[in-house]
Amino acid sequence: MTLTDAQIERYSRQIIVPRVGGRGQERLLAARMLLAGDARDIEAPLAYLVGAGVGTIAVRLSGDQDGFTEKIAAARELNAGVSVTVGDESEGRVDLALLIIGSEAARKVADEIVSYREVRAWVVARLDAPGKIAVIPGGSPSPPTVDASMHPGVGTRLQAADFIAMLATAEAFKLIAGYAENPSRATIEFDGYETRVRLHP
Amino acid sequence: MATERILIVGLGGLGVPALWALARAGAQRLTLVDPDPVELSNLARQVIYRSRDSGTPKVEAAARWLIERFPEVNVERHPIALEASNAARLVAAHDFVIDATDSPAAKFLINDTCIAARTPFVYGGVVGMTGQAMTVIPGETACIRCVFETPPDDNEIQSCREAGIVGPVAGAIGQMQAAEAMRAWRAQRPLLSGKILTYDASGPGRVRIAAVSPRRGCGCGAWKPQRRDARSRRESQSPGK
Repeated sequence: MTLTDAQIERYSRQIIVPRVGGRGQERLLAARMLLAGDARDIEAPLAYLVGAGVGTIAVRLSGDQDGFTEKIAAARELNAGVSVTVGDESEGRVDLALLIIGSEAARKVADEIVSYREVRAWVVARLDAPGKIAVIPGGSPSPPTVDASMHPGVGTRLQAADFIAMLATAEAFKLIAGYAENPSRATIEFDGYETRVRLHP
Repeated sequence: MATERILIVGLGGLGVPALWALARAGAQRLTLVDPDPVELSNLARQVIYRSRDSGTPKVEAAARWLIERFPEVNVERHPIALEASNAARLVAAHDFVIDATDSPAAKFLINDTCIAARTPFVYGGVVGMTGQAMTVIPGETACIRCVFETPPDDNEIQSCREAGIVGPVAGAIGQMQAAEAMRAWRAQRPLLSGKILTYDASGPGRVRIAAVSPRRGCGCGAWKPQRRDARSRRESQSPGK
């Protein structure tokens, strides 16, 4: 895929970020990702991923979906070069799944996706205390083997929930764009707003 | 809470997530200041603007978006740059200011104007994969001049035009700025008053919060002579010391 002049202009501010570059933008545009979570938790991440030019985004909603049809339409309007679909196709390649777990319903959907989906890389965010983001690049074990993500029961929502969701979105952006040459499997843990990063071998 | 008047200066990578988060949280009186029109290169990270908004003043496009999505929000629009000639009047009409600008000169102007008006504000900045935020309570906590003293020279500045910027990094800082405004309007002490948050996404996302002390000699009035605690007083008074 070669970037057009209009694409270079549109994505210029992220293309010039060191280690993103034109190659990273091409990866973003070619990527197929799955975004799952409650409507309130994925609205902003979806907008940022659409804005960044992630080529195909399948959205799997959990919990209350009231009014989300309009929000999906609004997300599509942000970038005609991106395809946003609702519902997870059971076939086809998925380069990255971003699972945002802010409720019990979202955890169940995430568990379901993990149990059947072939996905190259994962970012899993827990928005309850203690907040965690599991970053699992391609070739790593799937989320159930990572301590951050799938323990049962969703507890009290953190005040920093939206902030954590946005940090998880940044981690997804980096993995898709190939920002790090050899990205580490990592767990980012939250103590209030501060983070503690554990790298896994 | 609904009557709190919040001034957002800058409707770019920081101002957009800040106004979105504020509207979601129930803010009803927002004033938007930005002199620029929407450009194609904004759309990747300023995720309320659409292609058809290109050329439209950002304040108009943002206000239209707000009114469509959050009709209860009262939006005041100023398609102008914040300058010495208008800053005092604009700041005086508000309870809290969000500095979402990308120019050091504007940041120091907001700092100085808010200190003079005793209006709390939250500073934000993003370049490349890193961002910062800090809340200033005038007369109580360190201000921008306590930390940086003077604006950097133009040739020292890396703007997002040169260093680039990634949408979700700016989104996180803008959301944090909105959260500080929300704490203020709920009569809670903002988390970042007297503290600076740094977010470094160049590796696995690292967020740190560090205390910032007022600087002696800074004109903001936040520096106070330290009271010695009882123990140090006893030690200094004890014989042989």
